Amino acid sequence: MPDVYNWQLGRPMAYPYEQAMPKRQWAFVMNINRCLGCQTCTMACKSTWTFERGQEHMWWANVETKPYGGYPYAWDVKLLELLDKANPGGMTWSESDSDERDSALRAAPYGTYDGKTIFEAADSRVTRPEHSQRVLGYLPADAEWATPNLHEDVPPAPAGEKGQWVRGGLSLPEHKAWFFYLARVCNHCSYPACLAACPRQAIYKRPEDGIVLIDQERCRGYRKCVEACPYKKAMYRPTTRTSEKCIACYPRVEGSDPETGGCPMETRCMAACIGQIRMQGLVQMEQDGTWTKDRQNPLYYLVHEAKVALPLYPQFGTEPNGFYIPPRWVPRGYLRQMFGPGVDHAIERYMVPERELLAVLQLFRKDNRIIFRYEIEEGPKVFETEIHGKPFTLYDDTVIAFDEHGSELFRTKVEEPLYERPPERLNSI
Amino acid sequence: MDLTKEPEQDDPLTLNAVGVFDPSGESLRMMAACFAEEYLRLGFPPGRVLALFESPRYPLANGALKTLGYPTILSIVANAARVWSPAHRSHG
Ligand code: SF4
Ligand code: SF4
Repeated sequence: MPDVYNWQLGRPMAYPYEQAMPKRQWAFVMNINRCLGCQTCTMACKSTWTFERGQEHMWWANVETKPYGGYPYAWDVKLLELLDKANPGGMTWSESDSDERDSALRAAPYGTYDGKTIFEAADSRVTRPEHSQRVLGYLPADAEWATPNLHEDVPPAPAGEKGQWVRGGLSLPEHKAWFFYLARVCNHCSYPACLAACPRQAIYKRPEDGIVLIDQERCRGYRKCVEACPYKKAMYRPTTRTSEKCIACYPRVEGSDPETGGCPMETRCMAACIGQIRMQGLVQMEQDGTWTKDRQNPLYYLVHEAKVALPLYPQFGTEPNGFYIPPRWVPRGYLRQMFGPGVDHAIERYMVPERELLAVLQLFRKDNRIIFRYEIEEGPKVFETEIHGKPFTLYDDTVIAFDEHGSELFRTKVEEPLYERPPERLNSI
Repeated sequence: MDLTKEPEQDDPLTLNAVGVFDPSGESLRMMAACFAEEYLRLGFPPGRVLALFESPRYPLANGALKTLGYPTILSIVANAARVWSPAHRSHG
């Protein structure tokens, strides 16, 4: 297998194909601290792309209640278990020996991953001893796709009444401890496992925006992608006997939706987010697989400058392009397993936000068009205090968002005033 | 009605709606603080944030209030409001 460079692992990695990077890459940041689990994003996707026959079980966008929820059922626990079987105790990280230069940081911001990825562990045969795989993975059983977030927050049926709802007005169980909502879509990975596993080469990554698509003409429904995707975001459709996956709302990202008059637009799940947790955009890529320095792109800033947004299960090795601001209340060991060694830094920065971070967080969900650049106009100092034992100064800066062509999209302030709709317009959009 | 049952191997829902052991209550306190800060940063006045904790319609926030007690939640909201609510800042 050729070697490609995986910046999230801080090292070269074996992958079945040669390194080939798109010019720009579709990417997103989600702030888990704000997700309410309202499922508006899930339904926005469902009602746009997967409402037809044979797609009933398909939730390209879903929100699951961690730690126990998952769609398909226990997808991450199962994959972690497989990876651990293939490489016992191997999911560890070392401090990076790269120097402090900017390029080195972009190439290894979280240190170096010591263990094997799902590509490097493919020959372990832990899934099925009699078969080799191109990518370590498993095929979920049909029943595992059946219950997206069903019963994750509500009581299961009483003993002996399998498959029944609880009747007769019962109070919901109270969660006595932490949980959090993990919103997920396909990560349009830089090294897609779905693409690597397809024997028909029916899956391709678009050079213009890095969106990963399944060619429905070439697909023969072997489900190798379903087996290989560690995030289980490729799904089989029995009515067409092909696999399907999130298409990143590519007509919107291309700017062909009439709503924006040619401006690239964020996906349906991003635009619908009630909790204002989501931002999606396009980042510039270097041919070595790292992100081009683009200081004023908000995604670049959140991932590479502030380092508050982290990849989901980077150890899998696909270099996912979805990044998460981790939930600050969740035990750190769990979070380190899920988001890698950058967790402590990310939470510290998020809890005592620096001046620029506060302004950039205000950009979330103020517009449906993709933000390519932001600028900050300095405002007055509001006050100084301590947060969580650290000094903190609040400035009422103005942050301005620009589109692909440099035209202003909107401007907003750190101390954004609250507007409430009058009661007669509460539900009007 | 008894809601407990033994796990069954073929039941994919067996682990759902199960609480996680958090004997010190520290995670819960941090979660409550996060709710308070995020809502205040969205512009909610502290009184309305407190009302979220008091309402049984928000089971998690309300559960935190029941477990940690009203005085703890009140001080969590007040502490967050000191930073994030313009009307409640203590300058200097
Ligand atoms: S998340 Fe899965 S389906 Fe999406 S690109 Fe990555 S490997 Fe493929
Ligand atoms: S719409 Fe936003 S807040 Fe609601 S579940 Fe989806 S990600 Fe969470």
